[in-house]
Amino acid sequence: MLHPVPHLTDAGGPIVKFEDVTAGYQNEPAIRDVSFEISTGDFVGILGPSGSGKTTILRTILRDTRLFGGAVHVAGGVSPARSRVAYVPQLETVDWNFPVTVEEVVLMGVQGHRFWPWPTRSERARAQDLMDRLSIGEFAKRHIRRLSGGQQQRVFLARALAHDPALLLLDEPTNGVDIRTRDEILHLLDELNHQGITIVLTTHELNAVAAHLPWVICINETLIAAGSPSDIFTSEILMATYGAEMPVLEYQGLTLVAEQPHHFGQHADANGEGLKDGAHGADRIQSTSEEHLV
Amino acid sequence: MVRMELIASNPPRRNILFEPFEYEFFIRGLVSATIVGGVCGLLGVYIVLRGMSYIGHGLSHAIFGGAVVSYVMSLNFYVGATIWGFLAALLINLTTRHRPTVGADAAIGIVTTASFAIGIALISRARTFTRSFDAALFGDILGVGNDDLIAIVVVSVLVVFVVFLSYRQLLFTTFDPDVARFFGIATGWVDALFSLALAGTVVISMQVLGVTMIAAAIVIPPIVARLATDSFHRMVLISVATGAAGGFIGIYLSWFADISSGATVVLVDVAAFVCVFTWSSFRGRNIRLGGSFGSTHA
Repeated sequence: MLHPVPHLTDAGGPIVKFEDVTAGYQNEPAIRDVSFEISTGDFVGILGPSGSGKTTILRTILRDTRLFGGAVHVAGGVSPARSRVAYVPQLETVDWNFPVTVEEVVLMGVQGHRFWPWPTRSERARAQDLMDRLSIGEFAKRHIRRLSGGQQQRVFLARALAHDPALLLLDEPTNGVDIRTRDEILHLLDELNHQGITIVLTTHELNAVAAHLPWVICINETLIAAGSPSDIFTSEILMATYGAEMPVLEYQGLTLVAEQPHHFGQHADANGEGLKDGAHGADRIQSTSEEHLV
Repeated sequence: MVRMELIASNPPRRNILFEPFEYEFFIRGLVSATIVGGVCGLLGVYIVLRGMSYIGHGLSHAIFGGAVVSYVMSLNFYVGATIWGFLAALLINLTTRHRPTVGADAAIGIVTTASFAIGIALISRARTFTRSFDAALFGDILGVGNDDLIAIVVVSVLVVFVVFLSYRQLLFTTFDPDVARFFGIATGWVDALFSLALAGTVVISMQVLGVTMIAAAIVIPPIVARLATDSFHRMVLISVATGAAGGFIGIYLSWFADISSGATVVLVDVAAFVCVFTWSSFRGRNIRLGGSFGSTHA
């Protein structure tokens, strides 16, 4: 479990501000009338189902979408390079056969003004420092494919940190990794957040990721809710976000979400209520955790 | 055949291995092929890694159209053909980046064959195109004059300069074009600069290798290098060395074998590929058995 810094509303003013933003790609908006603020020092999760506009929000911060309406303010200026915004893509989008070592990936993020193609001593030292900081220094000369999932995520984090970001955007950083790696990544991000970097990540994992974050934005094309998980993890908000019944319960101080059990091959009755036969799993969850229900 | 005529008119030298170096045109050809091989190997790395291996083949055809247009418009061949090739490469890049549904292979097919067709159409109207078709298609190393050599050296120096200056940007744009933008890299400019370098390289390669052989000189050295290393900068070095060695050895052997210079260069490259492929397969099998290498992507 993380020990998140509370949402710092007035800590240093907003680093990102969306005002009635409608944005998308080509002629089709993917998000509509979205307004929110992210304060300097925040650790925010953008939560929603697939295709809900999570990545569009990140790309809108990066000025990489078409703005149909509203206004986006990112502290530090218009250009991502100037405003010290760094982006970590989904690992699924990386070409793992590309001939590139860990050090070469990290050096991509180090901005220098060298004439020669090879890095200067100071650039190499900076890359090594970042790799050591993220515990991948010993793999500097190794091909990126020959690393574990957590190490691979650290490589791209190191490249982003080489950009010296004030705001770090991560697209589904825990997608497709095992539980241990996921915890490792979240703790690492928490550490970076405590060092002063504002972090915004997208996720569709409610309990594993979003429940641990201090501030969550629920989106499904429009903004559904924004707040701490304990405030916004309610059946109504989750129904509006995911379009599915999700009982909410408390466990060791965390607000967690349970899924309605599926009963494949069994059919609802004529009224669409309950099941004709088999175990009523939803009832069981309700009865065993009734006292904890929010 | 040229060699036979020369041998007939010149008495044999003491050391037959050094005999070709007696001739200025051979040295010009050897230097040209070595430089062109190295530059093709350099740009080929980026082309292969961008999944656009056939752009060399397509562009050489497209530039054939540009050569005809520059002839019809009384422009210098190198200038006209390079501009034409640059526009074709730019169009392919723009189509691929902004309309991913078209795909790089389809974009190359459409743009380059259209350009080639324009050349053919203009020839059929003008009917007085003076550059040799055979030389354009299969290369004519013996026809490399001092002016051609100067053009090859100047373009090669410029290409190396461009790659040196934009090494990090080119690498980032090739590896992760979407994300490179977010790190302040002007990917559009990088692509445009690369297209210009590529067009220039294909133009200078036409005389040496011919339209039909350029693709191999661009694709084989980087593939040889890729099989040999997992590091990008080492891949660049190995590819340049393989391309340059292929050019040197190919031209040298073509003297003794008395066959087309372009074909010999490509056959030397292919031989290098077969050797490295066999070696890497053997190494791969051994290492898999040993378990110290191979994909551990989680």
